Amino acid sequence: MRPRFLLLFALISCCFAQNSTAALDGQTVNALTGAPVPNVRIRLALNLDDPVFAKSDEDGRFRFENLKLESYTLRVDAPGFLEPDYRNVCITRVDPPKEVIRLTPSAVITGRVTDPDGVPLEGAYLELLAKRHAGMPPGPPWMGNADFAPLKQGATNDKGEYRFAGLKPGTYYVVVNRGHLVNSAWESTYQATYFGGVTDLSSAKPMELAAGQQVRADIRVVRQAGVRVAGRIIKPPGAPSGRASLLYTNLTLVPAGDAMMNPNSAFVIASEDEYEFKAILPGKYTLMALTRDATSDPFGHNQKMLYGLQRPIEVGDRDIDGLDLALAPLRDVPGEVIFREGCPIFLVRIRVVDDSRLAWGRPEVMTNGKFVLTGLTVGRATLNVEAPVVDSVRLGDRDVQKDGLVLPDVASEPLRITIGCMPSGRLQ
Amino acid sequence: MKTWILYVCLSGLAAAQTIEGDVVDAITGAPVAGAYVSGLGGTNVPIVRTDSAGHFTIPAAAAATPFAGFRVIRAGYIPNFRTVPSDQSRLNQRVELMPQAVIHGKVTDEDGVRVEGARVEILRYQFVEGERKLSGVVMPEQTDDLGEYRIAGLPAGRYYIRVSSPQLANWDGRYGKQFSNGSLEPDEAGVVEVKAGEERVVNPRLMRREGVTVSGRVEYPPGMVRDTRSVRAPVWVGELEIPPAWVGPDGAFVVRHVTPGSYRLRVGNWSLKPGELWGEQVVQVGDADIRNVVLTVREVQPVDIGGKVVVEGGGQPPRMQFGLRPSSGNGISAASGEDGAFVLKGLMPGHYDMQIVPDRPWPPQPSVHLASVLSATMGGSDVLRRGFDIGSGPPGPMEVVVTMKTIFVKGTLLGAAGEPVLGKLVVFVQGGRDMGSSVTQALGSFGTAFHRAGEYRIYVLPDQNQWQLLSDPDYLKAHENDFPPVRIVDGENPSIMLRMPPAKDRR
Repeated sequence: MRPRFLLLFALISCCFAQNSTAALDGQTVNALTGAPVPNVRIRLALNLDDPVFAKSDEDGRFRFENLKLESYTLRVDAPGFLEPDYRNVCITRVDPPKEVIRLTPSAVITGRVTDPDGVPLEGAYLELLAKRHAGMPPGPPWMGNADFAPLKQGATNDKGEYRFAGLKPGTYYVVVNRGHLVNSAWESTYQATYFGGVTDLSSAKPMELAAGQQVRADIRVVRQAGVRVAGRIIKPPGAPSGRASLLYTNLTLVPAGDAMMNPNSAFVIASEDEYEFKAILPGKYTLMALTRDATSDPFGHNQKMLYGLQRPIEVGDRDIDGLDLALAPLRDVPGEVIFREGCPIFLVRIRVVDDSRLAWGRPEVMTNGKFVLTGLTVGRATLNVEAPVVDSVRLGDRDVQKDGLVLPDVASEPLRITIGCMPSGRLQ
Repeated sequence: MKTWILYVCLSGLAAAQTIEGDVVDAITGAPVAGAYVSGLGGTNVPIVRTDSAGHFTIPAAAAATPFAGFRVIRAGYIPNFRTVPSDQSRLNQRVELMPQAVIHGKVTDEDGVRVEGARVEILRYQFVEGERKLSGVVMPEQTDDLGEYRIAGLPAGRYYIRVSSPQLANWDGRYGKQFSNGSLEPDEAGVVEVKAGEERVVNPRLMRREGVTVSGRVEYPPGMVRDTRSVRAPVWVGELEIPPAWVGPDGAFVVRHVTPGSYRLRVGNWSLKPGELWGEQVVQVGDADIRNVVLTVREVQPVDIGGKVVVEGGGQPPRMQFGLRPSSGNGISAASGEDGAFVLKGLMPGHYDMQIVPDRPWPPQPSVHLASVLSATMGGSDVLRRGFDIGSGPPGPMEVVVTMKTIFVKGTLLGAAGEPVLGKLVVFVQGGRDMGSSVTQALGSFGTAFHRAGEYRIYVLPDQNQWQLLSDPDYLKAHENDFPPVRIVDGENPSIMLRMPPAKDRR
């Protein structure tokens, strides 16, 4: 919103169009050292269709000529530096002041992942966790009070190498886990391993990165036996049985307090009605399951989701057998948008941002009255209501704006979304 | 190709599920130590590493369920998968790991400045459904912040490298997709040849192309009143590779920097919803601007396509499952009924690929022959392999012809000296498509099920990991006369005896 507002402001305050033309000189400099930054791409646009381009020279200098006296947007693409906000340049006279663009070098984390024997591991999956900052929405419940959230994902190449670039100064963790490539030689006893050689976030070694700093973080994956967690999958009464071979269930086991996008996981064919996780370390977890019908879309993009479950479990130092999972049918959630008296009525976009690790897709509706949210999966979901003033979103006693939805264990009442009036004089 | 494979047939029924063997480098024959070997198709199948002599043993006792084969992975080599039927000896397996080729380098712009986030594709000509097409070999890679990329796991071959940068194209529309030698179309000068185990450095330079301007206006059909929906609607040229232009308040649009080629010009959101405006037409772009293109838009509504499944030669049609994959939006599925009728519902304008599979009985019944799809046509056009477009005209109906017929043919593969040859993949090809295949087993035997009588060309691939050779025009040309074509007839067929040509005649 901020750049748009600035642009509006600039356009209003810069209406000195004349027949004269001007040249704009500028320089790109390193914000830390003041040294010139060469080879920066610069784009100056009067409108969307007619941009002009320049590149900074060895002294970081650039020049645009024959510019009308207008307001322009100036954008910068500087490899190796953080992308600055675009700026509005208002040229009101033939000799405008020089534009100095200060660029902050980005930080980089690189490293190599090896197996427990020191052999480079190809196709391993990496996540970069960054310290959460004020204003970020709360994480899903299984993250507990984790101060870190996933920022980037990557994979090792054939030499076991990875690289996270374009990072702001801050505190980070790197964790490596099982990849999904066929050439990944990840054994079942390999554990998700943080930089520093530990398997849990609380013991992991954070990396403090300054602007422009390059840090090397090699990780040797930890091998640890753990225990087995297994049981049966029990589908609800009346579940299709004639073509049951084409129902399948994904399961995942997410460690409590974990911020990873890719936790331990298993893939279970429901026709077997059995599941098994291997080499699970002691600790608290959330177990999630989601059953789909493969016949509903052979291509797999839009398969119907039928049943789900989410339950906490605690794993000790012994195998857990017979942990049967009774799946519940997924539910549609009805609701209603209510406008406060006297407020204008318009179409409100309601989107469900699903935090489940097992589903994809973002159900949404446009409505000014009653609605039904379908295609919701199991797990916690965040409701996103696009309206200038949302007074409240409630599901019975639950404040959905604050607590989110937990599916399918929602109350039977409909969602009630109350929209207020926009204060006069406020810009949309 | 020099043959290293040596299988020793042993009985040893007691050890039928234990797999044991050696892993060697396919080029040098040297043992490969530390390779990861894991069972396939079972549960609780153990994973082992080869020892310093390249030897491995997967003990049967450790597996919860029987496993059907194994895979071998080692950094620097192309993964090798092998199924081993239970009636075949699982001892003395010899696995030749082929060293991978690697292409890596740095993408820069015309001034030599690194390009971050560029997409690098490795392509080569392949036969796809009987047509020679330039297709991707591995997943595309993105350059890192240094502009560098590294694409590993390549088999030896002749490749084209295509580079694009959506980020840079969005910045400056003149940075379009191009090949590593700067050309817009693949040409011989742009071929990069790599051998097994070789690493090649290729540093593509993304050049700006002025191209031409395509401009015109959006027009409503007679009787439809202009509304606000078309203002600021995107105008797409081709796929999602070129940033869209936008329709102005007067209905005009201008697309700049379009390079020569045939494009589908389309106005409307990429993922359409009912009631939205949409229009498209094909434009041929040469080296001159194209003006006054009129794109007629209409309000789109979903359409249904009806059709029928029929059995070749008559009979009760089996129940079939249909899956449609649109160029945008969600997939659509349907099933045919007892009378073979089906309806594909809710199709919006766009291109659709289609898959048709028989409904499988539950519980599985091995004795039940499943239907095989012979053709699917709509308005006389093949839609099974090429898919179909939903546009302005009324679609359908669709006719799907299936067969319940299965012709099972057995055979034996012998070496040039008359010895049985195991572990080779025998493939039967008709009309540029593989119509049946089988891995040779004990005594060189194989068996393949056909759904249609006719003449088939035979290729014998080194093993089941090398399917890609079937799409390599050079390989197909070199081996088209290795074996005489075979004619399969309805009913009983004699056993097929294949003898490998002498090694000097094989590439």
